[in-house]
Amino acid sequence: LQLESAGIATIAVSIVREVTERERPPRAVFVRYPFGHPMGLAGDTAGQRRVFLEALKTLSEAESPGLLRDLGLRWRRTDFAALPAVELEGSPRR
Amino acid sequence: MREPWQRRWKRIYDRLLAEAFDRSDLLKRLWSRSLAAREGVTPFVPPPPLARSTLALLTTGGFHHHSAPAFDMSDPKGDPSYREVEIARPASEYTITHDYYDHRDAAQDRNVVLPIERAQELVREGVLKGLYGRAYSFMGHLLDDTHIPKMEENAREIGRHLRREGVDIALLTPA
Repeated sequence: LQLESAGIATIAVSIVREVTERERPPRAVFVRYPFGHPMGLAGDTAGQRRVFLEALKTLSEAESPGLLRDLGLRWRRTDFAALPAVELEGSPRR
Repeated sequence: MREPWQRRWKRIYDRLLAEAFDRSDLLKRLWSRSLAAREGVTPFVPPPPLARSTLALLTTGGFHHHSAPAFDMSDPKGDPSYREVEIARPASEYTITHDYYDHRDAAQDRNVVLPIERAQELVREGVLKGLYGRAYSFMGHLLDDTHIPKMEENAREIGRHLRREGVDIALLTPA
């Protein structure tokens, strides 16, 4: 909130949905991941990249404050190679 | 001042409690209900296009340089201070002090909490214009209002600094 007030657009990663709903940051993405792993598994570049790109996509597409988007990713059960690419503005292949 | 054995037991107790919370959706729900819902207006700044944006990384993962003071694990009300992580310095120069999550994976690969290398890849690919040369790490664990004003003051200070330095967007990661 303090960063956004300073003029910086922020995106938060949430791992406890209920806490984020109470805090109401400007924008957030939710992943059902354990504490200490908001970006995914250690050594899993593809999974970490997915969360990062989805966060950036949410950041660039949100039009009003309070968006909390569930990325639908599941701990150790999501096959990142099988997911469609994240399409960001001006960069269709990710 | 606590005796050293009391501090040791507190840290063991805190780690076990964190493990229990991590494994239980019910405990997470009960914990979240104990927190006051924030009131007031949510600020909102439209970001520039990503390819023209400089990103900063902030986390509550408890990262700090080996030579910097560790976060305060003896205060049950948390620690509102922060440490700087120089992006250009090797990960091996940094450590984690945080008893409220299992950070063995984050110590092995900091990108699970602080995705510096992932951000650098996106800059090289042109998805982002740049990555600010310093990340900021808090430890947090502020369970009541005691330290919140100081943490908010620190966040405001970082925000003003980053804006002056030309940072446009920020990714915030919890622990």
